[in-house]
Amino acid sequence: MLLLFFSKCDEMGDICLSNQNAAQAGLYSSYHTSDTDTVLTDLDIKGIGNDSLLYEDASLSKLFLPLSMHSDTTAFQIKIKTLLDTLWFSYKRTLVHVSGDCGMFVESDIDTVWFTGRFIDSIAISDPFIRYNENIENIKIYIK
Amino acid sequence: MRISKTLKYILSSLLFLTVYSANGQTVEIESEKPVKNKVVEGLSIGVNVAPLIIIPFEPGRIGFGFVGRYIFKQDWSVVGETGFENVDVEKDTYRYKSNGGTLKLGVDYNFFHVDEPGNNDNITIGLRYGFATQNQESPYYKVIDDYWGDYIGSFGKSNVTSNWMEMVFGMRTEVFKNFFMGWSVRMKILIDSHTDNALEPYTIPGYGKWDNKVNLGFSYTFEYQIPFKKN
Repeated sequence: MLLLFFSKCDEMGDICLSNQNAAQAGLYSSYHTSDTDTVLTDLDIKGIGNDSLLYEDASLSKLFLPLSMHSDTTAFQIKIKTLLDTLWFSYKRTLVHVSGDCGMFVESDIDTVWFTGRFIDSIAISDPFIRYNENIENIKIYIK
Repeated sequence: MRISKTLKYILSSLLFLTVYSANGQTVEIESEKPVKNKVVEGLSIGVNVAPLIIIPFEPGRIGFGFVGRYIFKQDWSVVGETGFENVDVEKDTYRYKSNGGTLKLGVDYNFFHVDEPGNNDNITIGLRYGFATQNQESPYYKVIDDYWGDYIGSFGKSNVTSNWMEMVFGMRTEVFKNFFMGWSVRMKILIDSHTDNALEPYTIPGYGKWDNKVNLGFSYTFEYQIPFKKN
């Protein structure tokens, strides 16, 4: 599994974070009127255009989906056993300065999320902004 | 008298003692020829070597400073400081280069009074307004992304202007006739810093780390006072 929050201490003692450009998604059941966490099992996820799997045979209720900093769209294939859904993110990127020790970061502002509906019922954007060192759920994925 | 000796001791201890000992010279306070304890107005010019002292701790920063002081009353002086700083630091994710200068203007108030003829030592508090301009660039930077690949770029040369205020506490002692050594500690509060692009300065000349909106600093000065009037 990809290490999404790798950190290290530089020589000045400041902690610099990497792999911060991930959309955080919570998985919820669409059968409940209020948001209720749900866990998906046997989950495989990969970015379209990348052969590496982000998750393999995982059981998860929360996903970290890294958005590419090289383009304004990123797509993922989410597979549960034989069911396959595709998720597209469209977003705006902004280069920002983090600190003198940690350098730069590319912030993302999610515009739109599209999906195919094999097992995904709907998606809601709860916080479109992906910032450095923020642990906030960006989208809610409701599962059928 | 006791206060004066204590002050000289503190200052001397903090200064490089080798300045005295290398020449086999000492300051014989008791043997000083008493002179009238009178206002000594005059212009002092000198250097601030504090930027040299930090080089071993931050090798990428090289700077130097100059100071001018006009004492127009016993307790008040107008102070101007200028200096430059060149920076070339390499961090894990980027390289930063800058060169620029600073100008500070302000006043010092001397509250050290002693009944000792000829004593020109000062303990001061003061204020400064600081201004700096610098030219900066980042030949490369990267944002680490282990899945899609690192985002790599660079920033060309851009200008930065900064303003800040300083509160100063300092000591200054006359170690030879009209020759002063002194130090000060400063609290610096950044008012504004403007850049042309997303790259923010690693350090601001005369201010220090841009990351800190309040910085502590120090100066270490050697000054020669040109007396306008005889003591």
